[in-house]
Amino acid sequence: MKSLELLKTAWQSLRVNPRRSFLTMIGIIIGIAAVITIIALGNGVKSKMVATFKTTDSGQQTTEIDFVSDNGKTFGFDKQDLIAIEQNFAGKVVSAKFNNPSTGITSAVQVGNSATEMLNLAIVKEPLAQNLIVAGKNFTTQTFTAAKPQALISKALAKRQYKNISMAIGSPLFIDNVNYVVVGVYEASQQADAQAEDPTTGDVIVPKVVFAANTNSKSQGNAVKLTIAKGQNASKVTKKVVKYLEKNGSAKDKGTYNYFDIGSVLQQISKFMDTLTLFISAIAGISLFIAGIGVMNMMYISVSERTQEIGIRLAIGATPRNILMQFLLEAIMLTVSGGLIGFVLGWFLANGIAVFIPGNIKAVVTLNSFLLAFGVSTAVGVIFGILPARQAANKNLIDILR
Amino acid sequence: MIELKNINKSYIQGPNSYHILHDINLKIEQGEFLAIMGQSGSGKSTLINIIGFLDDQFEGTYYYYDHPIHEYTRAQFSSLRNRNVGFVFQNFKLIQNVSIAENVALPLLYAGEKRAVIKERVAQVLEAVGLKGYETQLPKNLSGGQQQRVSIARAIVTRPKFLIADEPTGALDSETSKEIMALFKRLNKENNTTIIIVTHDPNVGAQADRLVHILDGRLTEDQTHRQSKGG
Ligand SMILES: Nc1ncnc2c1ncn2[C@@H]1O[C@H](COP(=O)(O)OP(=O)(O)OP(=O)(O)O)[C@@H](O)[C@H]1O
Ligand SMILES: [Mg+2]
Repeated sequence: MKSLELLKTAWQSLRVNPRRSFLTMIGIIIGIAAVITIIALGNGVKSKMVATFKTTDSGQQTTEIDFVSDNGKTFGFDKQDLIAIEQNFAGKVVSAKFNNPSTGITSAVQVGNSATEMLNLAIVKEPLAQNLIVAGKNFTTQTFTAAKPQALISKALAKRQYKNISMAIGSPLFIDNVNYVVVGVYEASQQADAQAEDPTTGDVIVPKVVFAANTNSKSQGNAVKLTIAKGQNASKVTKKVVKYLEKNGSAKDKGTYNYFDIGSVLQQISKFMDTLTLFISAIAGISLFIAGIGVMNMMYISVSERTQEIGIRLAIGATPRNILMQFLLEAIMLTVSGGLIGFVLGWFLANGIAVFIPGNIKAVVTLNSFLLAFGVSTAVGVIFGILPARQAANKNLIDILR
Repeated sequence: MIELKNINKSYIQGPNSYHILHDINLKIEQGEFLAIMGQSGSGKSTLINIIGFLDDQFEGTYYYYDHPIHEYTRAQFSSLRNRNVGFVFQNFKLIQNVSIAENVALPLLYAGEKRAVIKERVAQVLEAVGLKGYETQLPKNLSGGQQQRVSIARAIVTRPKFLIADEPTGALDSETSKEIMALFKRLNKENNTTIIIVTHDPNVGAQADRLVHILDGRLTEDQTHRQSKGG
């Protein structure tokens, strides 16, 4: 008999009793779903870790140390600090550089003739999207190549300072005693998402080349980016640098140095996930075992209910092997269906749970997970289906047909 | 075609052994229409189970053409049955959860035939038994006579050398019985299919070309029947 026919036969038999078939599958579904869920989340944590410890092409990792000053004014690092770090940690730290932000910079700004005020400033390296400009002109590439002291201001700020926003165009703007010219007015972004680094969340936008050249952002900063040498433990080295700065840093008495070790947090989550995976797998294993017994039980019932059918098939030329395959395939079909449903359910579940896990972790379902679900459910079908199938195949034809 | 010599058969039940068939000698030629009659428990089913390659536990020799069936094992029986013999049972023995066409197709599926061949052949035999157009019906929606026709269709679908029918009319009324017997006769005449039919209905037995009686496991030829048929 051809395998396709065998499949069809198995399917027809299972369909006769859909409720019983489904109930038998539930254990498999739960077991597989649990395993897939936990593996998907575990994978998510791991891939997040990989992304976080994103190494440079040469295998180096980067970390960041932030400074929070006590009075809100002093900068935490100067050029001297960076040189000191590079010298004292030679071989461990490849380079230490300022990592100054490009958005959300608070700075004293004087617009036109009005009084100086503290405004939210952003620096950009390229023109804005043209559709954001509501009056005047956008920056051009020339603005950046020729380092023109031009500025864009938000519609809100323009309205506040002038009767008509177009009147803002051409007026002078001072930042740190540097004279910029307002060339355009833009629509500020409504969403205040600091993470997105959207320059239009602020009130003033200036070209980076001009701003950087005229402020001390090259020699001072509140964030330092360390590039750690290959093969070093980034977290350990960075912690040592923090310790060093607390003793010797230029601003050691004026604030605190912070190193948010996202890596160690993730490592903890990952460790926790490993334990959890083991635990859930054990439960899933028990669930699958019990489900397997259920399958076996159902198959035994099915074999005894269908004694007549077995007799008929044998009488018209089925070999005992045909009968064995038919019942074994039925068991496998049952468990594999359960496995596949469990796989899909686990996928959904993992995505649902991922939302509630801190650290922006996404569930990652891989081909391996699929193969695992498929393989395990097939194995359960074979292991627990073989005995009932044997019993079916070895039935005495003469006795059945009496 | 079939030659049984000194067949003895005992069933062992616990410590007891029941001797059911005693020194059966029977020769059946290709194309014969044979009826086996006897009382309940006389061993009719036991005998045809041996003839139809269902039972390999017997003493004596059984030659089917040149095959020494008494030397064959159960494992060899499956394909022998599939290719050479068709069974028709008293209670039809159709698989209830599959359609008429699928029931009839089963022997061909086990023989490993191609789908297209099967479809054509099934349509052919269903027409031969007068059930054209019933392909997709389920067995339970058919009358007893119709179900028996389905089981005959299934029995002849592989073009077997012989048919074995154990009380094929036992569950049918006399009118339907006649139809079924007419069908057997036609198959016997048209295809030269050997037919061995078990019955305890004398009316059914009378329609066969040859009649044997079995009494307490011993076989006797009905000579008067043979003469009346002109044999
Ligand atoms: N598998 C078996 N094990 C033990 N004894 C059996 C078995 N099959 C049949 N017998 C016994 O053998 C004897 C003959 O049985 P068999 O079925 O051949 O009779 P039969 O002529 O077909 O009867 P009926 O007309 O009722 O079908 C009976 O006494 C029966 O009880
Ligand atoms: Mg009988």
